[in-house]
Amino acid sequence: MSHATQPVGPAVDPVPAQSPGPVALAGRFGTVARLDPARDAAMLWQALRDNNEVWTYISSAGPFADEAAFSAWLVERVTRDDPYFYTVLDRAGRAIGLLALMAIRPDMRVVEIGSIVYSPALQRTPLATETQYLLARYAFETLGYRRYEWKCNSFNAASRRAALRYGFTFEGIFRQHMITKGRSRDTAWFSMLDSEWPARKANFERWLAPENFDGEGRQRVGLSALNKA
Amino acid sequence: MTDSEPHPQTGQPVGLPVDKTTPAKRPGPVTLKGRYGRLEKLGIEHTADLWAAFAGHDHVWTYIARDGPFASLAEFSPFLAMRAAADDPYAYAIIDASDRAVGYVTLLRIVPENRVIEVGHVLYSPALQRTPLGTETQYLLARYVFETLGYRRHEWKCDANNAASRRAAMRYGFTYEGTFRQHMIAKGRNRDDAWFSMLDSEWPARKRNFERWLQPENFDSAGRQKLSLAVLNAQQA
Repeated sequence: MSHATQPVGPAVDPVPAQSPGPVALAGRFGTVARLDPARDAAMLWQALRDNNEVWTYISSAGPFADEAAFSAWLVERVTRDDPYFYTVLDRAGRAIGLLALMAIRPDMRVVEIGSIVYSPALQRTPLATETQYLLARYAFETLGYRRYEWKCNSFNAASRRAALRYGFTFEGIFRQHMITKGRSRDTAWFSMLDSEWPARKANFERWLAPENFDGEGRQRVGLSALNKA
Repeated sequence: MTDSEPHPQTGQPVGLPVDKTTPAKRPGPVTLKGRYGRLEKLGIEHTADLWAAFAGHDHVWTYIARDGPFASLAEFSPFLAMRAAADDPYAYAIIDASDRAVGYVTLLRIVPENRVIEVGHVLYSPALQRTPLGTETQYLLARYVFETLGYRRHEWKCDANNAASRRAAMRYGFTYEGTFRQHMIAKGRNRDDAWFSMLDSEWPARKRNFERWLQPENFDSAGRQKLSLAVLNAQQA
């Protein structure tokens, strides 16, 4: 039987994507750099301590009882190729967030952005959005991925809203996908494709442009509105 | 919609505690006996039967992401030895009532700590397709996964273009969950994946329907089904 009677997808460039590396991605509002526990641990602890809610939907870690336990976790994280962790540094060089490229499948040209821990100092700031722009650009343009995934606990409403705002497309919910911290977890899945990236990129850049913020730093056009249009 | 409760410390909605968080067991070299045949651990002793069943039917390999088709027994044999030796995917031969291997099936992406497993690499030769043993195979494996091994999520995925596999998943009582776009590059081509699952809480009803469908009274003297499994499962959805 030929492919004429069994539909199959189009041929694609099968050259594998590259694995993420220890880059520093400089933006207008800050920098995304390879996690460096010696540089980052104390600053991250200051930003995250007393904010245990940032760990609720992280399946494998946190909250941490003290800085020593948190630092030990960072030191262990940085030994891994997957997940591959980056720190979010603001313009003053303060480490205020953490995230990773993970589930890295260069042969399939698929990668996920996850383990996103944004401290209150980073949440709802232009740098929070710029971080997503910088890493998506790196994944698509530098590393050569064609599917960029986002997943979260289905009850994590903020993460689901964020994924849609950044221009990911909802694909479905895996029921009973994990047992995390002793609880049943359903996982919501989203993706962005290489073919979609040019339009998403244009919207990120339009949103991040200085002209998009008024004298008080308030956005003029919402990124959600841009991506919905 | 799945139930949630407020997190005891933060108040954010989270899933309910799982009653049993001990990991599920890994699949093992069991023989699962049915009415129409049996499953047993795949081994190189099944090579000749399987080659006879698959040879000349290259279309069974089209939607298998990496493997096949094979030009000769000499090419097929090392592949089958590799498939038989792997822990994940963990393969079972499907043996008919006359002791012939007519297909194989695997359990894969085995995640005991999350109690999640997938049934896949479903290689049914024409001699097995659309037979009671084809369905019984899925019943025996699902029963093993839920009742013996202790999984709570049994997954099925396929190339989104594979209409027969999508129909089969629904007929067996899996629930469609979504399609991952550009999920793989399979044999040089783009592959979107359609995802399905069956849950431990759904298994008792699915099991009853399998058993009702598989019993001899459900077939007329020409071997035609009286009740359809797809209809039985659709009635309960």
